[in-house]
Amino acid sequence: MSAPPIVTAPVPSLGRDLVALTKPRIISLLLVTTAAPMYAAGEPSIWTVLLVMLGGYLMAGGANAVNMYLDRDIDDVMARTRLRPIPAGRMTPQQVLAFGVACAAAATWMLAFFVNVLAAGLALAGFYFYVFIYTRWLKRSSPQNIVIGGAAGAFPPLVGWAAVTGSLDIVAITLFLIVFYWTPPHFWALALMKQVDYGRAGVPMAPLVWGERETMHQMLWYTVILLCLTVLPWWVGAFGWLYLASAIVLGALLLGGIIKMLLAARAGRPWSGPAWWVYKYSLLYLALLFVAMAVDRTLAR
Amino acid sequence: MLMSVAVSDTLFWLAVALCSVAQLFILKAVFVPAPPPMGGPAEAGRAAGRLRPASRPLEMAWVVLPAVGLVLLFLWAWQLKHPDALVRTEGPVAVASSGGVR
Repeated sequence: MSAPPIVTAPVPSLGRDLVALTKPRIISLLLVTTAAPMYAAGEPSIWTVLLVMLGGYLMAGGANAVNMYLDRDIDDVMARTRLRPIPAGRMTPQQVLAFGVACAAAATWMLAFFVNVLAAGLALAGFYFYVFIYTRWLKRSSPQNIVIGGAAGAFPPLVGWAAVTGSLDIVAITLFLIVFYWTPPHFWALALMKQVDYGRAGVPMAPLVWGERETMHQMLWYTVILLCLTVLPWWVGAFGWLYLASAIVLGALLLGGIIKMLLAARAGRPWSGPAWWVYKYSLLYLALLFVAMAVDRTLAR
Repeated sequence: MLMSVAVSDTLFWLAVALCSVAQLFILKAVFVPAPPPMGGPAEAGRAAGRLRPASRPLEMAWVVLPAVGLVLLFLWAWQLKHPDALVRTEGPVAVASSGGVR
């Protein structure tokens, strides 16, 4: 007789909870959109890149922790967030808030002292935007929460660019807008599948306010603008043909996925499969697009 | 590989046209909103009093803001490629554009 398989759940620990507060999986994409522009903007030393990565992680992690502090009431309602340290009772709200603020303070000092004040200021602006404009103000009051709140996630390319050049130009602003217009189709794909959770928590995500079909149409329009924006850096001469080809191929795949989802919904077929694909692919899309920028510039030097 | 100025400019205006159409549909969703979906997941939030209608003027402001940013970005890009386009000589002071990408 063979013994039944033993299934072990991860043992909660303070270290694991502190890491969980920073939402490391989300931050990994933010770090790609920070590092790649650094190599697109110039030839940074490995130390500068590491410092900006660490500072960026702490700043974004701090913002995520403060977000969990502010959202502790609805985190308990949503299945997706019920196991976070505060609703699960493993940490007090005050501990989480202190951790988040400490992370942001450390990141500001590190970036200002070792990199430059502009990079530190931009990173801190992203922190405040995420905490106050998105989490505190828009998240529970407007279906535009993801659109305007998306600006918070668009600060990392500015930070990376500023860390290398000490200034901002049209390419940096275009990268900001690329992430800004990428955010709605990405998050609305998730929102389409988590409507029950968001409805229960009273978060006015687009599918709840506009309906599924209109949200999908909006995803399409935002993606059209996104694709046009990705061509702009090439048009002004900042990136070459390798980047352009990558932007077109990657963008066409994203657009195709959204059209597939929309057609499935229109035909009354199940659309959750294509929606999941759009959500997951959009993560890969943004990462590869930014890597293409860095590779394009590195090869051109 | 080089591309003629005419082809390059055509691509630019094509992008502007596509963005304009897309932006119009984005604005329309807020300025001429469809009735909210009844029933479904939204109902649970409404019943609990958590899902409240958003402020209309603010919604309009939030959707217009990125559109303005987009217009400014395209103007900036055009000015960079065609610095002479915005030179004005009829006034007392000639305003010349500056800039250029690295």
